[in-house]
Amino acid sequence: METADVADLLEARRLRKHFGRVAAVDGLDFSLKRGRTLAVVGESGCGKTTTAKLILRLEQPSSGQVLVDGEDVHTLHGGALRRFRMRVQAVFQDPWSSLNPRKRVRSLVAEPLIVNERLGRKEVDRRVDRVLRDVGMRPEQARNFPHEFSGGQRQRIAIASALISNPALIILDEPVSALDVSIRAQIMNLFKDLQREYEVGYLLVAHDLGTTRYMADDIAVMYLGQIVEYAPSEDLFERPRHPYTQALLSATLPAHPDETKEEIVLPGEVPSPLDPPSGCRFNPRCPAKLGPICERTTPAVRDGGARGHTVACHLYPE
Amino acid sequence: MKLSRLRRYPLLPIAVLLAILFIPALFAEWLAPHDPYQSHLRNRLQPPVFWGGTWDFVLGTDRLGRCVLSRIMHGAQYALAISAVGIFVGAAIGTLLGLVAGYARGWTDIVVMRLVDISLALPSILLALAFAAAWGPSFEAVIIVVAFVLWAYFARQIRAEVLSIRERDFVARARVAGGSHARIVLLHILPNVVNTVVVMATLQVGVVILLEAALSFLGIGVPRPTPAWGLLVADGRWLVVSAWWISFFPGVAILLAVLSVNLLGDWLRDRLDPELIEV
Repeated sequence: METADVADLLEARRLRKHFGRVAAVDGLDFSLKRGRTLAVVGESGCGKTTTAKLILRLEQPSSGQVLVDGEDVHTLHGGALRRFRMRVQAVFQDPWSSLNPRKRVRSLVAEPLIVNERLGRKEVDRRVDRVLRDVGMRPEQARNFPHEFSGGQRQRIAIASALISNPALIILDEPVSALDVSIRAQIMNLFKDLQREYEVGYLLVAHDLGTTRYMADDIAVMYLGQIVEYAPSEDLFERPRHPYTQALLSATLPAHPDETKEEIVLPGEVPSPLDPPSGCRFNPRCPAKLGPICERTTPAVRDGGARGHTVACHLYPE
Repeated sequence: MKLSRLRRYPLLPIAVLLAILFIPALFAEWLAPHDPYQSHLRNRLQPPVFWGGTWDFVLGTDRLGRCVLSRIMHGAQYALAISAVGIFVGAAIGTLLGLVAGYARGWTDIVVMRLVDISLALPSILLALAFAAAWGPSFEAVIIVVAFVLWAYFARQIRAEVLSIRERDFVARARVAGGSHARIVLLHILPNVVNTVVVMATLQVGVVILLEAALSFLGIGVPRPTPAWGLLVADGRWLVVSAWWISFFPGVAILLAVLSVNLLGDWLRDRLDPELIEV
């Protein structure tokens, strides 16, 4: 698979993860370019968090590959693994759970440096100082414990820690959904500013489309372990193709209050991944179901009408 | 009302512990009025001072004429040493195994937890009998028995906490940062269970003092003529009607020490509760 241009920052190839009989992630393909943002969107249980863990090497895939800079993440060891740990970082959802309550901010933030690089105290302090300023905190706050901070500030600490090793990719696992609505915008702006400054790529995991619109260049919509639609952000919001995407979109607030739209309410619950529906997995809840073909045949991925827009649905011609 | 005040300001338990455990244990050589091993044959079975005795033997003497007060004070050394060393060893082993079992899960966990079940199912007195039979009663044997009885409680409790802590995102973050398993367990998880270990250890002091007393009473603990508290109680049991003070005062010492330590442990548990600290 040698190509003329440089390898993508992140690429997933036929990525699968089974837990016993449950296929949490069932054949994902996606890629992310340097300095760009890909959002993975879906309801809870769709496999988006498992996807994040597979990329971070917190879980082993059952089959398929995750490539970072063209290297298979799950075969790395030694120095290559250390480089990977420096280049790929994460910010988790809940800043109350993601900061060790027994550690001071300095050691929380410096952890990736201390583990992977031999730097003197002075140099570590300097890097911590810089990165704390970059996330909008004061360097002297490095002495404090996490419980002395609010949710937004805690998330800034987690972001600082993710940035300190100058990573190329940060996995953002619902990074604002545990925060007060009033500070979500601040944190999302911070992510965008930092992306420009550090030229870092984001893989953003989210359960609603609303927060992703502002941040993502591309969006992958997941349902029961599979990507049902994949499109550039603008195109997805303008012309959603898959009935599931349309339903998700109708559940978000309109960008402008004068915009009118009807909310599509999906019947039933997400089916159990233990026993996924045959054919198109969305067929039991689909408001646009065509008929037996949806129950019998898994829809192939097809052109969604615009550049880079693909959709897996029988409504559209192959 | 009284009890809740005791728990908020543990001054009384601390004072009692200092008075009957720590100060006598550390300074018995200077504080005790008599040599605990010396017989005063002319003053055998002297009653305590308020029961018609003399100020020379404040709490009376036993049937060999040894000063009961001095023997209790020297006995505190054994109570304290056995609690401190036995609990330290038991807590260290139990905490380490609990950390490993809870973090590694799988087969390691199963093996450790079955060992815990076995250890908890063995009666400690029987265990002590076996040790005493094998090596003869000794100070070291008592410490081994204490550690052997306690480790399983620590292992079970710490494992349960680690199972929940390991799922928290800060552990995932530490792995993403590239930390080794040893680093994650020792630097990230251990500091979050230290409180539990300290509180458990404190609460076990009472249990250990009672265990040591029981073993000594049965003659399978610290050997005679060491003035261990359990032995002192045992010494007086044939004379309990005529010379009640021989058994009574060591018994009171055991009661007060255990009660105070438990009150202190409760208070410590409330104080170190991380939820309360973080508020």
